Order: sequence, then structure tokens, then C-alpha cells
Amino acid sequence: METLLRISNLKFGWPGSETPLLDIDSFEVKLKERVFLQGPSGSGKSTLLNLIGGVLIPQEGRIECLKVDLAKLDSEARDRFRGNHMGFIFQMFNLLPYFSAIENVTLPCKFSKKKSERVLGQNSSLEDEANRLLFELKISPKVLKGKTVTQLSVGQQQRVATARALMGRPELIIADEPTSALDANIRNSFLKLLFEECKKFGTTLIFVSHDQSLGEKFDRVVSLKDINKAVPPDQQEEEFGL
Amino acid sequence: MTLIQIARKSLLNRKATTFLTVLSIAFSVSLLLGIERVRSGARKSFESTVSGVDLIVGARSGPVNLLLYSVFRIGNATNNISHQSFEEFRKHEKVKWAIPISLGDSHKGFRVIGTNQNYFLRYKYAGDQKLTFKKGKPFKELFDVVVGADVSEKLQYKVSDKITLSHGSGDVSFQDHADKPFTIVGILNRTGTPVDKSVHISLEAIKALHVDWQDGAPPRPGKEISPERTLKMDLKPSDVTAFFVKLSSRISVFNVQREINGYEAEALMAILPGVTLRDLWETIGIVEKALLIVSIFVFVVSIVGMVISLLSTLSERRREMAILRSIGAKKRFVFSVLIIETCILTVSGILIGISTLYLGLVLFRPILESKMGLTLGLLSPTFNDFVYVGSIFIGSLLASVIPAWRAYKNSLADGLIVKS
Ligand SMILES: Nc1ncnc2c1ncn2[C@@H]1O[C@H](COP(=O)(O)OP(=O)(O)O)[C@@H](O)[C@H]1O
Ligand SMILES: [Mg+2]
Repeated sequence: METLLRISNLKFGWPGSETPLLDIDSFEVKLKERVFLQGPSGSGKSTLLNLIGGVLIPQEGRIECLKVDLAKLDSEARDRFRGNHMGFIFQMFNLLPYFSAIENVTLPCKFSKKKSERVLGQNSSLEDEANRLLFELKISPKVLKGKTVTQLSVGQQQRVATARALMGRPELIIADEPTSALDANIRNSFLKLLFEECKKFGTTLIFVSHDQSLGEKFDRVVSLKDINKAVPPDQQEEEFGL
Repeated sequence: MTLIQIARKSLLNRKATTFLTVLSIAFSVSLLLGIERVRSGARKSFESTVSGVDLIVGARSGPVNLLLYSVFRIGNATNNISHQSFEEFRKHEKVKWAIPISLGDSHKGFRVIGTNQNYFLRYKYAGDQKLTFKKGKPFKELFDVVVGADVSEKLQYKVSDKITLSHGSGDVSFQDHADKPFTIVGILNRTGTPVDKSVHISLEAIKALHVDWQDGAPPRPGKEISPERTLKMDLKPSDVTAFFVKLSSRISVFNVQREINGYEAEALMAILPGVTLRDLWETIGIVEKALLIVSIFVFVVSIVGMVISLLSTLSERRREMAILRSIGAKKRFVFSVLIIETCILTVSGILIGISTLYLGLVLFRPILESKMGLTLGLLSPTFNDFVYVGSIFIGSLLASVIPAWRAYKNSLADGLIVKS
């Protein structure tokens, strides 16, 4: 199977800290794979996602996504690359409060020509696709009617955010603890919908959580401490007897 | 396009602060432009108090003093000049016409001006405006009087009312010319100049009022001369206080001025009214500067307010910026959002401020002009207006770099994930 993401010999430390937070010899994600990246809070999961998203660049090593070495791109090209090929879902407050749900979902196409072209190749308008995605994620127009996005329930907001991440069919969806703010029963149905959509479009999914119980549903479970040679910050503290 | 839409919607999402910020900018714009209007209007009406006059001649004293008493009817002349000197220069080959004025009496706090028919014919103000009559006509008989608009309005005078004049210029005069009543024959239209506050009689009438006076003292009992007898006397004026000169050609103005200043028979002084008006304005211009400084402060405060309100929202907007970055917005997009927001705030503030000002001008100009004699000038914007509006815009744009830079820095530090 083809490789979507390949990280090799990566070293990253936040400015001001002496020891690196991440030291990863090799980490690969195959195309269409659904990877569950697990690790305790503060272990550097979100930092790794920032690196994959091209917002941070590693001090050493390579991050290749779709055969493109992110470090070789300049900052604007990395932003464009992220806009064209990735979709993000975060833990909470994913939506711009001053836009409607539809506007939130179509927004990625305003920043990425590629996403916009992909949508318009199949649909008559961006709004059509947004409506379709929302419908598949079980958000009916009736739910949205007369409501600002902040008036939706957290579960509904996360589904609108998922629709936005899926909009324009990016190759990679990165989800950073998207279920941590959800109740257990909603969490499962949310995951089910997310998986269905990823499967339909053949989207690769990197899903980050500190909650190990979710792992069994994924193709592969990776624990950050298994791939990261660096000593996590909290263990450093133990070593120093703090 | 997306940038403007995001900035606009984000601002509307914070209605209260946005509204207050726009309001404070609008307020400072109206204040700044309004003060500029009043200032330039005041200056214009000040400088147009007298026009079409090349020289003002009086007894030798300070130029400002001469201007003050001859044009503004403020203060008194130290000396009068002889009527003969006036006649001499009136007949001067380079002089087109001359208007004499004689001061010293008053009527209920309004100055009495002794002059001649030329005054109504030739006196000009505000560029090319001539004196016009609301009612009646110029004085003709000895005891005729023509009053200015303020005089007739305040004292509710109408044509053919009888009034008496007082000696001296004080509000309360102890020495009346009650023995010689005058009849109002004309009421002038409003000019917005000191003419409105003047009571005009002929030079002969001035003479008549004082015909039985001796050495500045009222006639001793039994020595009074009745109006009837006065009419039959030779009332050739002996002196005037000052006179306005119009030359046939402006080119000779300095020559004639030199000639008057060097006049041997009497110590005279000729001033160019425009120059002295400007000098005078400079000395009282401190008020104008104070007004300007106050409005600049108001402007600075409103800009500081805007920066503070933008800064205070930044921490709750970190997530907004992270979301935008996650969907592919470039780093400088975050910076631009804040700059565009400032532009929207400032431009709305400027537009609202200007509209309010013009609305106010249209509504209140007639009142300001008629009641306060303040000419606010044309409605069309002046060059200074553009300078002010331009500086306001550039000033707030420069100030907006502070929140924009902060947002940019925050966004860089946060990356895609904002800690809750
Ligand atoms: N923007 C940042 N600037 C500096 N240090 C950071 C930043 N974000 C995270 N860190 C540090 O990096 C470490 C890992 O954080 P993070 O990647 O958020 O962990 P996780 O997502 O696994 O909870 C923490 O010690 C945190 O203090
Ligand atoms: Mg995290």
C-alpha cells in the first residue's frame, strides 16, 4: 500500500526547552489508513500534529506528506499545502461563531482552490456539497434553522466541524481529541459517522486521543511513547525528583 | 473578499464594542471637522468684517487699536483727527472714495457711528456684500438715525421710533443727549459684522449733539441750544475719528500709506486692514489652537480606545485565528484581518462622523449664522477636511499595527491548537 505520511529522524523541541519533546526515528501512515495515536496529556501529540500540518518545522528530520517534504516548502507553500490536502477537527470550539454552519463548512474552499475545484467538479455549488455532507452527518436543515452555530449542541458542533474537515475531500484528516468533550454514547455514533465518511472518500485519518478505549475501532493503534525516544516532560520532572 | 467578509462578520459578532468604537471615532471626526468649520468660519467672518477698503486712517497709535475701534467698535481712539485732514485725502488724486467715521456716543450700549451717505453706498463686508436695508432708507435729515440688525432686534425698534443718544460709550451713561431726540429712518439687514450693533447718524448730527458742549462737558443750565435752533446753525464737522480709503488703483497703496504716515499737518496713521486683521487674528488665535488641541486629544483618545478594545478581544479570538490557520490561512492573513477590521471601524466612524456633521450643519447653520453671526462657510469640504480625515485614517491604521502584530504573534505561538 502507498504511504501517505512518512516521518523520519524527526527531532523537535519548543523554543526555550533544552531537551527535545519529540524524537521520532520513523513513523508512517499508509493511504486510507485509520490510525489512532494515543498518549497521555502533555506527551506531545498536539505538537506532532502541528508538525504534520506544517505550522511548525522540526529542528531535524523529514516530514513527507504525499511525497512532499514539508520542510522544503516555504511557509506560504506549507499553508497552501495544508489547505489543499488536510482537514482538521479539534476538541472544542471548532466553528467560527459569526458564520452559519453552511458558511463554516464551505470556508475551506475559500482558502483552497484545489478543494473548491474538487467540490465544483461534482456539485453545482459549494453550498450543495455542504448540505449533503451535513445531511450525511445527520445534521438536517431543520436543526440549523434559526440557530447560530454556538447555539448547537457540542455533538452537533463536532459534526459540523467534521463536515468542514471533509469538505473538498482532503487526503488527510487530522483529529485532535475530537471526542473528548462528548458523552460516551454520542462519542460512539460520532466515530461511526466519521469512519463512514472517511471510508466513502478513501480519506486517511490520524486520530489523536488520550482515551485508550477508543483504539480498538481503528486499523492501527500507535502509542506515542513507543515511537518517541524523547523523555516526556512529566517523567523528566520525576527524574529530577520534583 | 473572504478577508473582508471575515473582518466584517467578526466585528458584527462583537456588536457592542464595535458600536462604541465606531461611535467614538465618529464623534472625534465630527468634533475635529466641526471645530475646523467653526474655526475657518470664525476666521473668515473675522477677516471679512470689512472689505473693499485699501487703507484705514486714524490718529497715530497702534495699528491693532485703530482697527479695533474703527472696524470692531471696540475701545476708543486716543485722539480724533481733523475733518480737514479727512477732506484733504478724500480729494487726493489717487483716492477713489473715503468714508469718515466719528465715534464717542452710544445708545443703550450700542456704539453710535457718525458718518456720511457714502457709508451706505460703499461699505462692503464678506467679500462683495454691500449694506442693504431691511426697512427704510439712509439718513437724510439731521436727526435721522439708521440702526443695525441687532439694535433693532434687541430693542425692538421699528422705523419712525424716536430714540435718544448718550454721551460716551459706557453701557450706563450719566450724560444723555436727551434734549435732541432722533428718528429711526432705516433698519439694516444682518451682516454678521459689528455693523449690526451700530447706530448710524450723520457727521453733522454728531456735531449737533455737542454744539452746546464745551471742553467735553455738557452745557451749563441755561446754555442749552434747542434742536430747532440747532437745525439753523452751521454744523460743519470739525473732526472725525477715522476714515476708510479706497484707492483708484491698489498699486499705489504703499505710496499713499507712506504719504499719510508722513503727513505734516497732523500725526496720522494708515493701516492695511487685511494685514492688521491677520495680525489681530494671530494674537487671538490661541483660542483656535486650544480648540484644535482639544479635538486632537479627543481623536487620540478614540484611537487608543479602539486599540484597547481590539487588544481586549484578542485572547478570546486565538481559537478563531487557529481555525483559520488550520484551513489554510497564511500567517499574514491573521495580521490582515486585524488591519482590515481597523479600516472598517475607522471608515465607518469617518463616514458617520461626516454625515452627522453635515446633518448638523444643514440643520443648525441658519441658527448659528443669524443668532451668533458665525459664518460657517460653504457646505463643500475644504482642503483641511481632507487633511484631517486623511490623518485620522492613517493614524488609526498605524495604531492598528499594535493589535495586528499581537494577534500575529499569538497565532504563531499557538499554532493550530489553542490551549483552553
Ligand atoms: N505553543 C506552545 N509553546 C510552547 N510549548 C508548548 C506549546 N504547546 C505545547 N507546548 C508544550 O509541549 C508539551 C506537549 O504539549 P502537547 O503537544 O499539547 O501535548 P498533548 O497534545 O499530548 O497533550 C507540553 O509540555 C507543552 O507545555
Ligand atoms: Mg493535545
